[in-house]
Amino acid sequence: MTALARDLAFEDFPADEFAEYGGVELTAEDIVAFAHEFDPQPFHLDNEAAKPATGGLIASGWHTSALLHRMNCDAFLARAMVVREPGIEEVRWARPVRPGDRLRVRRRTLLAVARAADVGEVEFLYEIVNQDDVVAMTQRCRLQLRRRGRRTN
Amino acid sequence: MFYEDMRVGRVMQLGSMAFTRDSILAYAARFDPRILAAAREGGPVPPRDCTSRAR
Repeated sequence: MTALARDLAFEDFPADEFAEYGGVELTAEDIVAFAHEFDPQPFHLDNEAAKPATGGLIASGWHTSALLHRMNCDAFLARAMVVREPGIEEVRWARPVRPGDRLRVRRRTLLAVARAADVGEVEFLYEIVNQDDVVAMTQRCRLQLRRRGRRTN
Repeated sequence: MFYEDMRVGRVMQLGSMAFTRDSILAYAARFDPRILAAAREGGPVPPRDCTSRAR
């Protein structure tokens, strides 16, 4: 990815805004490769070993989280004037993600508050949904962004 | 390990991880291209979303 113009400011994410984007399909090979590196538990590594516990291979929740972040980058984060990323408030893995699932993102802005003359803070609720519109994961996090047209310190 | 092994207040040492430039950029290529872009420009790497292989 080449550097993109950072042209999205706090004002571009008003409270109650809803956005939907992304689209990524997971293969068994993707799931196992990620798990080998970051989450080597049997139900993420081997379909047969996973059957008793989960009915078959499932993706690591951290893999789903990483894919959420990638879809966010592609949709808006790479263009956002981010001042600070304080962290994730909450993450929940509601349903397993399995090979062949196609994931996309729903984003709702829960909160948009000015924090300083040149900085605003937003709170997003992300939902990862699959091809059947089933929510597989939710994440709530905050992001501080530059305010448009304000002098920086 | 079972439920009973996870006592409230128990502290466990869970190993350590080492970060390398290559491992950060490899992860970034897949999941956080902002880090790649920052590295290409010679700027600071964003502080989050970095990981590495276990050593």
